[in-house]
Amino acid sequence: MPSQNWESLGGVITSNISSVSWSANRIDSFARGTDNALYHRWWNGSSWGGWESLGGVITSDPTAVSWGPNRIDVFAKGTDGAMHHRWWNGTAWGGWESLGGVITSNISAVCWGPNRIDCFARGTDNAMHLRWWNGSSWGGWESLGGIITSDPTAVSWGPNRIDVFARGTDNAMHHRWWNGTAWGGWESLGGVITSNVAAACWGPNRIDCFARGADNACYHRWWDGTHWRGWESLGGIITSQPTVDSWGPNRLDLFAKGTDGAVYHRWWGGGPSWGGWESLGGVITSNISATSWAANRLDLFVRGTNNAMFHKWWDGTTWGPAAGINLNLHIKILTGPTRFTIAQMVDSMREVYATAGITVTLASTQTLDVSNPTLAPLNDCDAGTCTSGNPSAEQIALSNFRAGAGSVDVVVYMCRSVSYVSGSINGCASFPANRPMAVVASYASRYTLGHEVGHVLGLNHVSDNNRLMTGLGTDNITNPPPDLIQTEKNTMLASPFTN
Amino acid sequence: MAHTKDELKKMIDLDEPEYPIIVSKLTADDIPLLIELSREANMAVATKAVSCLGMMNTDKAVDGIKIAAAHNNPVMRVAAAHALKNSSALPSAVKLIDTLLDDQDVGVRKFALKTVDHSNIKSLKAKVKAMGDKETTDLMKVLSKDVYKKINL
Repeated sequence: MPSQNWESLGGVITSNISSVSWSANRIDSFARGTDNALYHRWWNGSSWGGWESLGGVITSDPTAVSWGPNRIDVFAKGTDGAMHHRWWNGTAWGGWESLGGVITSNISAVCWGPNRIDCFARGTDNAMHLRWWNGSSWGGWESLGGIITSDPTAVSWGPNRIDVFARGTDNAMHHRWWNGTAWGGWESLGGVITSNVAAACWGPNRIDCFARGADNACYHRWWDGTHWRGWESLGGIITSQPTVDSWGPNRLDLFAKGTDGAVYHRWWGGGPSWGGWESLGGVITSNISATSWAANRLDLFVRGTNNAMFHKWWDGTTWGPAAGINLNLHIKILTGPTRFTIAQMVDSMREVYATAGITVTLASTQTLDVSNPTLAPLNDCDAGTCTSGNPSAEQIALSNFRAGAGSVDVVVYMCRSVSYVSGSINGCASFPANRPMAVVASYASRYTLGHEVGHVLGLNHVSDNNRLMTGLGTDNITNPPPDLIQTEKNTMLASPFTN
Repeated sequence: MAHTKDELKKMIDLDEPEYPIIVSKLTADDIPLLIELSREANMAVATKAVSCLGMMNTDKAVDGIKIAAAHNNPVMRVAAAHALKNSSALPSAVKLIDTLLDDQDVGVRKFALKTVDHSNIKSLKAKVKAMGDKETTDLMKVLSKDVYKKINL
């Protein structure tokens, strides 16, 4: 998942993300949840709201657009195959409204002016179809013909102008355009593309199109106002469709996932050549959603390996969030906690660790198969003497199950019970060299997770019920959240497992 | 003088209790309330009460462990199997360990075997030997055979 330098915005999402900005310092992001409803989180200029369920049962990625301040329109396919619509009018959410049709692709929506929306999707006949809002009513559906084998991608470089791109059956990029009076097209723009098309317009009569080629490099074709140029290879080996955004004239920012799952970025600033590729890190499981609310500002949204939404931004000078101290945490579940949820335990840990300037990144959560004969007896873990540097045979056996965790990542095994030499305990943090880990019992307290990882980082018990490392029981913390004192923070920051 | 229930709960409801220190502060008068605590729904408290009962090392305390050993939650039976290592000189404890070696749950059987090992309970060697043949997981097979070797010396 995106670890350090990506901000977790939580949630459990099951689609690509669509983000839109209707004014400076405002972002609205949409994705499908595990219940297939549409979910929404928003940045109001100072903090994130949400997640808010907008209901519905959607079967495609959501697509959000804005034609003016305080206005959002979101589209998605429903279980009936029709296009459905919800809108924010500045005061309240309207919808869901069915806009009919039977569509077989994600929707591309574009606004070429206030109170105007054009929506494109593939129909059951594989032709491209259009429905539009003219400010007072919905027209459509109108077939624009063709046989397309990708999602359509629509952009507009000015009032009453639309350009739509899709892959044809010959794998070339094809183009139709609306000139204010009539539809031209279909025009083949050649190439052999293996992804949806990404397109952006950084000025009037300018279009830049990107797609992955047969060699998995990123390719670029552009309309310079007179002619189509390209295809130009921008190299790389990309494993997602590209995403492009422009925050101003003569500026393009291109993003795609690399073979290592990280986000990669190339940019063009109007000169003869492109910058990049630069890795922006992370391990992502979605396409990249990019939006810009001002010149020299970019906000990226992706899904991580834990299915949460993550955010990274360019503020004109640097990428945020600022590189800080991070602790990568992996949870391996033999038996889940019974008194609190893992989310509650991780959130409680995060709250305390944040006071030391440590971001706890839940890098993965994996349920282990306790019917596996090797694992079954370890569900009730015998931690031996539970002393630092002296793991028991069972802790060593558990430490073999750390798939996906790096050598400085901390793995916590959630077991049914944990015991040491003289009886039952909530958890234990002794671990073999180069395998930082702890075991936590299903009956542990809300703060046991943070407490045990505190031991992993080198902290010892104290006799103070207002501190995380209390030896008097984290169930008995008197003034939650419990504290860390400065020397403890220093120890944690100096640990090889925070970086 | 016996502790109050709240005092006892506060003493045992720790993340990593140091049982010998805790039990050194208890007397036989504390056993009834420990048994009460072992019946709490919160397993963090109940299992630790069972661990203390084991260290009390009396027939009355084993009576309390017996209830845990029959609990429908295997977490409690694991705690009972483990706690009995500190009461194994008592025939009532050995009888209970014998029962727990037959438990349907592998975690319970594992801790019962470890208790046999710790306490060198030779009277259970036939059952331990049979477990070495019956157990299906490598860990349990190896453990059963190792324990049998030790108690058969």
